[in-house]
Amino acid sequence: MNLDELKPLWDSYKTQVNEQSEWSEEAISQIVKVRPAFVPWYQKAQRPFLHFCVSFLLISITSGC
Amino acid sequence: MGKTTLQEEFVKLMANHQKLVHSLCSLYFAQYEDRKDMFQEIVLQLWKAYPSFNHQSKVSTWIYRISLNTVFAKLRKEKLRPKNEPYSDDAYQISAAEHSLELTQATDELYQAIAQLGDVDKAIMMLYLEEHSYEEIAGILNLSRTNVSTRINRIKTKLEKLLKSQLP
Repeated sequence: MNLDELKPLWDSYKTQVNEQSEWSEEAISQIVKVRPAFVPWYQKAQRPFLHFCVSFLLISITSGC
Repeated sequence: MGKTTLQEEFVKLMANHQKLVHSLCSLYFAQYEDRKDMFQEIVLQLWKAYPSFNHQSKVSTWIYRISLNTVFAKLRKEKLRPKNEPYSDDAYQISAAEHSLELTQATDELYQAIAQLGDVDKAIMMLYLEEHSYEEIAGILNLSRTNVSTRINRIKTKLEKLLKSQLP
């Protein structure tokens, strides 16, 4: 069995499946729209961490360390 | 590039390449609702990864890599069916009753034969039929080239037997 024998069948299979399952651009766009923007976990901690570092620095300076 | 433009670009790309994802979903999920859910999940995963896609690999290779990872993760997580077990006649009849794929006899024979392969073998056969090189298949599935080569020979022998047995 070689690729030449199965390839036309596979292409035909893909075409038939796609004809019955195809999504419009609008429908695909809806899937993407409902998903909230991806926020990496570290971004949530960035500001509190910055505040902590600034506070620590100020305390260090004012306490004479 | 603005978010809207990126989104429009992605939607166009998906619209043009959705055939790959649909054929993949149909091989792994017999039920219409499962195929639909999987398609949505794959589109989301692709959208999530799209900003970091550098276009160095082929678009189809990138789509297959993410799609297959998503499918395997879903199969592992939900254990929809026992691994490497073909769909039972009952499952096929239920899916046939509602929204089953209407395929011509020849393509249905190929579908039935591939459906009897294990999860990884299905992916290998699909990528092989999509004319990906052994190196690409190995890269997508995190297998060695030798493993892919050996498996393809084994799968071809198995498919040949299955397709012969399905002939009248």
